[in-house]
Amino acid sequence: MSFPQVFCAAACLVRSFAVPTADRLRRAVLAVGLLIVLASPLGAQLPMPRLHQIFPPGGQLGTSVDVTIRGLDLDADPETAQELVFSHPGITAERKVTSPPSSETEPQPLPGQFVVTIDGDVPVGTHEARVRGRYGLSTPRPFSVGNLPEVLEQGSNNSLESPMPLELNSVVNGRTSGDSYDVYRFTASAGQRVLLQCEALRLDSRMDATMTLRNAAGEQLAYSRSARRSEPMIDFTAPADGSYLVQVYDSTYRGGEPFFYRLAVSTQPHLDFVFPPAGTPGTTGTFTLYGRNLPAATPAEGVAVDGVALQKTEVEIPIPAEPQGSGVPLSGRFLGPSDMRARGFEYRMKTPAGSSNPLFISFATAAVIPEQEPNDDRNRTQPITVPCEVVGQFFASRDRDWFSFQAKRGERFAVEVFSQRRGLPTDPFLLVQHVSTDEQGEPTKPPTRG
Amino acid sequence: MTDQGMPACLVITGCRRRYAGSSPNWRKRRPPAASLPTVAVVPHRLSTIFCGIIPVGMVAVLLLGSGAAAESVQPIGLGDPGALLSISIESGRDGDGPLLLIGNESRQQVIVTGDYASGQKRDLSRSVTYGVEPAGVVAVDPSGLVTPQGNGTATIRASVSGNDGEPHDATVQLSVESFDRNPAINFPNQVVPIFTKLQCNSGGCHAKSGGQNGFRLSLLGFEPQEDFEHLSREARGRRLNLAAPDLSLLLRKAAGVVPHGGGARMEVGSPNYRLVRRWIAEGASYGDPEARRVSDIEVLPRVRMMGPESQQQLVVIARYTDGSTEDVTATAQYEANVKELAEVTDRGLVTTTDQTGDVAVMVRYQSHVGVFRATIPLGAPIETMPPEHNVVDEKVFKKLRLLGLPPSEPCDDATFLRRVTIDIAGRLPTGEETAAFLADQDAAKRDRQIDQLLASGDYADNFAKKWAAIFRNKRVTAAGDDGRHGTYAFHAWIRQSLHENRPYDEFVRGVLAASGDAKESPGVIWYRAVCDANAQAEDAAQLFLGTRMQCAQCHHHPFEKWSQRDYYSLTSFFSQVDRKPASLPAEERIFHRRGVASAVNPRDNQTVLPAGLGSEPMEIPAEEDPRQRLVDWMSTPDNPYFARTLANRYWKHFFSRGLVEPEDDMRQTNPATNPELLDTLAEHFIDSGFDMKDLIRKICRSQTYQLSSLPNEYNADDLQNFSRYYPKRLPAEVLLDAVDAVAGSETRFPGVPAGTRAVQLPDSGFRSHFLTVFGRPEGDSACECERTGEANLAQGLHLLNSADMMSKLSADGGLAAQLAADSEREIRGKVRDLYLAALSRLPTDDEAVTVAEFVTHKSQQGEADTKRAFEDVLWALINTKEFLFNH
Repeated sequence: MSFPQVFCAAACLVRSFAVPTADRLRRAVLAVGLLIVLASPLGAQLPMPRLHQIFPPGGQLGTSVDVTIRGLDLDADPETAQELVFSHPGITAERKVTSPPSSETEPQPLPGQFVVTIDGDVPVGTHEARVRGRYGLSTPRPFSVGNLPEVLEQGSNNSLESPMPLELNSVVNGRTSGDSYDVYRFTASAGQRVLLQCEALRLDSRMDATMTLRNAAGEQLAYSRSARRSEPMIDFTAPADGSYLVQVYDSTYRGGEPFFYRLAVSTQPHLDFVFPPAGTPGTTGTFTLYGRNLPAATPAEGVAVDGVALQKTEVEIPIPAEPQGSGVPLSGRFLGPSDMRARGFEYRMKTPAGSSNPLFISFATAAVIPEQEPNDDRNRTQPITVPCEVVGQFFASRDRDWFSFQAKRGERFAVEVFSQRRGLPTDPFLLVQHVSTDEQGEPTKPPTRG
Repeated sequence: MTDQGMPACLVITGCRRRYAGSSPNWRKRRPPAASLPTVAVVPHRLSTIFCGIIPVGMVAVLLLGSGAAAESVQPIGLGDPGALLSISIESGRDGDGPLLLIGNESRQQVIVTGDYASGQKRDLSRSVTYGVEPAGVVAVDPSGLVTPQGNGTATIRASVSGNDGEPHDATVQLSVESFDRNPAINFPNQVVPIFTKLQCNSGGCHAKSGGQNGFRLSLLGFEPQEDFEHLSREARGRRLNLAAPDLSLLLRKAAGVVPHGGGARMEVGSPNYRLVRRWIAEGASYGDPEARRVSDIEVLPRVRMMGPESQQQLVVIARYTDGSTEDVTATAQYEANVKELAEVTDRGLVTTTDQTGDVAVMVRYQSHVGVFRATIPLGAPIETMPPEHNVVDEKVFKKLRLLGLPPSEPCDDATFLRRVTIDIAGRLPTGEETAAFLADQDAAKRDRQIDQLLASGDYADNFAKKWAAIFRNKRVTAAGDDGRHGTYAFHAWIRQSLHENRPYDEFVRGVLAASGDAKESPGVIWYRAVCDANAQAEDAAQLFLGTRMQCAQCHHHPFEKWSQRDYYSLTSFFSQVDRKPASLPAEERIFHRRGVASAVNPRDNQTVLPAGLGSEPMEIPAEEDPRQRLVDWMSTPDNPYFARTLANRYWKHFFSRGLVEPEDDMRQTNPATNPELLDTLAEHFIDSGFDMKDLIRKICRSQTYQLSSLPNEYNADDLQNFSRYYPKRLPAEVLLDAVDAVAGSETRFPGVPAGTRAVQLPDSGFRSHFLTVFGRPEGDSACECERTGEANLAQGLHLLNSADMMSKLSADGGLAAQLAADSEREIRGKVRDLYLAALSRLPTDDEAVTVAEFVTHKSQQGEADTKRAFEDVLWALINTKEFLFNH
C-alpha cells in the first residue's frame, strides 16, 4: 500500500513532559495495575468487571439502539443496579425491561440488555462504553457513532446466492462465523462513488476484516484487507446501474461472537489526510484536505491511495486553543499507547450529506515550516531554523528528506518524528549527523557511509 | 554431478519430464521417450474386474485417440546437397599468423567443410584425403588430427572428389618449432585439464569434499594451487617420484598399474601419460604462477545444420591472456544437452541420431564454457502452414520450416476452449460455456475468450496457486498460532496482485524487498520460508533470473561463468535483512538493519559488495535497503535474465516445455530451442511494462498454442519445437475440481468456506490424499519441478477404485442422481450434457448411441439402476485420457 502523506516534524520541542494521558489509557494502566495486585497471592480475590462485548458496537446519531453486553464479573443479576455509561455525556443507556405480565407486577430488567440513546450532537467517531455494577466500573469497549441508518445482520447470508439486501448509505452490524463469509447486496447507479468501510479493529473485535466487492455476476471488482492499524476500505465508482455484492470475512475465515464488525456502504464524504498536518493553536490556517466524495473538490493530481485517485479541497480551519489536561481526542482511528503523546484536535467536515469522519490535526508548538524539495540528498539539505516544526511528506516511495540546522556546543535538542503515531503505515527512520567544517567553513569529509 | 555442495544439480534430472502424446502414433523402432500414464490404459483392462458394468467395447469408444495410426517415416534430413562447390580447411587458429605447433606433444585438429550448391555445409573431415608437403614435418591422421614430426614448415592439403567427379582441394600451412625441446610444463595450464578430462576431479570422485581415499582435488580444477599442494606435499610425497617418474603413485594409479578404485583412466604411453610423466621428470614444479591463463575458449563451428545420423568434428581453441592460442580439442570436455539427439566423443566428434530438433553440445575447458549448436531438420515437405496469428507463430513456424517439420492442424473450438480454460483459469469450462462458445459464430471468439478468462478471478486463483508454491508459502505453526494468518495473507496478496495485474517488477519487489510483518507486507512470508542470505540469493536467482547459483557457493559454477565472488555479491544484497518478533508467534517482522551491505567470500576472505550478476559492484548507503537496488537492477530493460526468465516460465506453463528446459536453469550451455522466440517474448514483455496478462494473451492468441495435439505423420516425436500441442495431465488441484465439477460433488476443506475449490486453497496445509497422490507441491523449494505431472499406480487406483471417487460419483445431489431423477428429458440430451461437462465437446454419434443404449438397457432393470448407470458412465468418462489430460 502506498500512502503518500506523512507528517514528519523535526522539531525542537520546548514543552512540559507532563503529558496528559487519555482517559482510556489511564484507566487501562490502572486496570493493569489492579491486575498485578490481584495476581499476587496476597491480593484479595475481588471480582474485576470486564466488558467483553457490546453488540451492536455502535449506533446512529439521534436514535436509540438496543444493545446486548457480555463480559465477566459484570454482575448482571437483575436484582442489582447495573448501568452502562459512555465517555460522551450525549450517549445514555437504560436497562431494557420485560413487558410486565400483568399490570400489577413491576417490569423486570433483562440481564445484559440496554437501550442506548445517542443525542444528535454527539460527534461522529468512536466513543467508549463501560459497565458500572456492584464491583465497580468495568474495562471499556469502543462504541461507534455514525450518521447513517443502521441494521443488524440477519444471518443466512453466507453464500453469494443468498445475500442480505442493504440500502446504500447505511450501516450493518454483523458477526462472521467460522469457515464462512457474509454477503450483502446493495444497489448503486452508474458513476456513483461508493465507499465501503468495515470497522472491526478499532472496535476491539478479533476479526481481521477483509472485503471483496463483486458485481451481480459474482466477478471480483475490488478487494481490501485490514493492514496494520487501518481498516479495510473499498472506494469504487459504480460502472453501471445495478446491484453489487460485498463479501465480508475474517482473513483466515475465523468467526464467532467476538468477530463482530460494522460495515458502512455510503456516498458520504471521507477524509484521508490533511496538509499541513499541524497548526498553531488559536489561529486560523489554510489547510488542504484530501479525501473522497468531498463537495466542491478538485482531483488531487498524482495522489492516489491503493490506486484510487483522491480529491482535494482547501479550507480555512480555526485551530482551537490548546486545552489543558487531556489533549488527545478519541477519534475515528485506532489509537495505540504511543499515540497518546500527540496533541491536537479533531476536524470533521460538515457537508449537506452529513459530517465526515474525523481527522486529527496536531497543535504546533513552534513555527511550522513546510518541507521543500529537492532535499533528497545529504549534500542538498533544506536549512531550517530551530525551534520549529517541519511538515513534510514521504512522497514518491523511498523518499528521503534532509534538513540542516545550526547548533552550539552544549545545547540540548529533542527531535521527534510524528508519523506512525498519527496512525500512518510508515516506519520513519531518523538520523542525526554532525557536519564538521574546515577553516573556510566548508564541510569536511562529506560522509559517504552513515 | 554428485558433489554434496550442489544439491540442486541433483534436482535437475528430477524435473526433466516429458509428456507423452496421446496418440498411438509411436515409432515402431524405438520405445517412446516417455511411457504412457498408467491411468490411461487401465480403464478397459480393469473395468470388468472392478465393477463389470461397462462393456469393454464401450469404454474403447470413450477413449481418446481417433484417426488411423500413421506409418513412421524415414527422416529426409537436409535433403539433396547438390554439387560440391568447394572445400575449406580450418584450424581455428588463423587469427595469429601461420599455424604454429611448439614441441612434439602439441596437437592440432583440423576440420574440412564442403560447400554445396544447395547452400548446405557438411563436415568432410573424415572423408577427405590428407597429404603433407614436405614430408617429415607433421603427420595427419584420417580424422584430421595433426601431430608434429620434426621442425620445419609444411602444407597440409585436403582433397576430395565431388559427387560429380570434380576434384576439390584446400590447403593450410603450418610450421613446427622446438620439436626436440618441449617448453616447460605449466601445472595449471597443462596438467590440471588432464585431471578434468579424465574426471579425476569430478564431484563424485577426488573432488568430493574430503576427497577420495585420502587424495583430494579441487572440483573441476578450479583451485590448481590446492591441487598442487595435495599432490606434492601430502602423503609423504609418494604421489610424485621425481627420480623415477613412472613409479609415481599418481601415474601408477591413474594408469591402473596398481589397483585404483576409479579404474585405469589412461594408458601407459598415451599422450596424457607422457605429459604428466614429463611434468614429474622436469621436477613437478607449479610453473610460473603469473604465466598466461586461458581467457576464453572458442568452438568451431558454432552452429550447423546437420542431417540425421551424420557427423561433425569440433575444434576447440583456447585463447590465452597473452594473445596466444592453442588447440585443446583433445583436452576439453563435451556433453550434449539432449542425448536422444546427438552423442559426442571425448575427441569432439558429434554424431546425430535419427531424431529431429536442436541440440547443444556444451564444451568445457578449465573454467570456460562454449557451445556448439546443431539443428537436425526432419526435411519433410511442408506444403501449407496454418495462418500466423502473431509474432510467436512467425518465430515458431520459421523454425519448423527450417526443420522441415510440418505442424499439426489447428485444433477445433471445443479443444481450444477446454485447453485455454484449464491453462489460464485452472478449471474445466462449464457445459453452458462450451455450448455457448461452440454456437458463437464470431471469428474473434477465441481472442475474446482469452480476454474474458484473464479478467476473471479464476485466472488469479490458478496463477496464485503456481506462484504460492514456488514462493514456498508453507504453513508454519507455533504455540498459540495455527500459522494460517501468514500463508493466507501471502496467498491473498499474490492472488490480488495477479488479479489487478500488478506489473511483474512490482510484484517481485513486493516479495524480494518486503519489510514489516505479514499483515502490512505479506511478502515477508517468503523470508520466513527462505531463512538465510545464501538461500535468499539462491532462490531469488532461480525464481527471477532463471539461474541456479547453488553450485557457486562452494566452487566455481561448472557450466557457467559464475564464481564464488559472483555468488557472494548476490548474497550481500540480503546481508542487512534482519528480523524481530511480530504480533503472532509464528511470524516475524523483516527489516533493513542499517548498515552497508557486504558479504565475505570465504575463498579469499575478501569483502564483496552487492552486485547484480555480471554487473559492477554497488556502493549502497547504510540507510538504504539494498534489496530495493537488487530489484531496480533486475527490472532495468537491459537486464538479460529477468524478463526472459518469466517469459520462459510462462511459456512452459502453456506448452509443458520451456524454451529453455528446465525453466530455471538458463545458461549459455543450455540454450533455448528457439532463441529468437525467447528474445521476442522477453522484448515484448519489457515493452509492455512487465504486463503478465499481456504476455499470456500473446502466447495464447498464437496459432502455435492453438495447434492440435494430434500428431501428423511427421511430428509425433517432436518434443521441443512446438509443432503440436503437447498433452499434459491436469494438475492435482485442477483435476480434483474437475472431478467435482463433473460429478456434481464437493470436496470440503476445513479452514476455508464451503465452496472453495482446490485450486483456490491458500497453502499446502490442507490434507488431501487425492492432491498428494496427484503431485501437489508442498512448497518446499523454488523449483516448479516439485509439482509432478507424472503418473503412478496410486493415481490409477484412486480414480478407478477408491471410496473417495465412489462417494463423489454416487453423491445424492450429484450429477448422476440428478440425471436419473430427471424424467422430463430425453436420454440423448442427458448424454450430450455429460459430454459437454466432462470432455467439453459434443459426443460423436457413435458415443451417443452407445451410452444411450447402455443407460437404457441398465434402466430397465430397475429405478436404482438408472442412477448407477449414469454413475458408470461418469466413472468411465473421468477415467479417459481425454478427461485426465489437457490436450
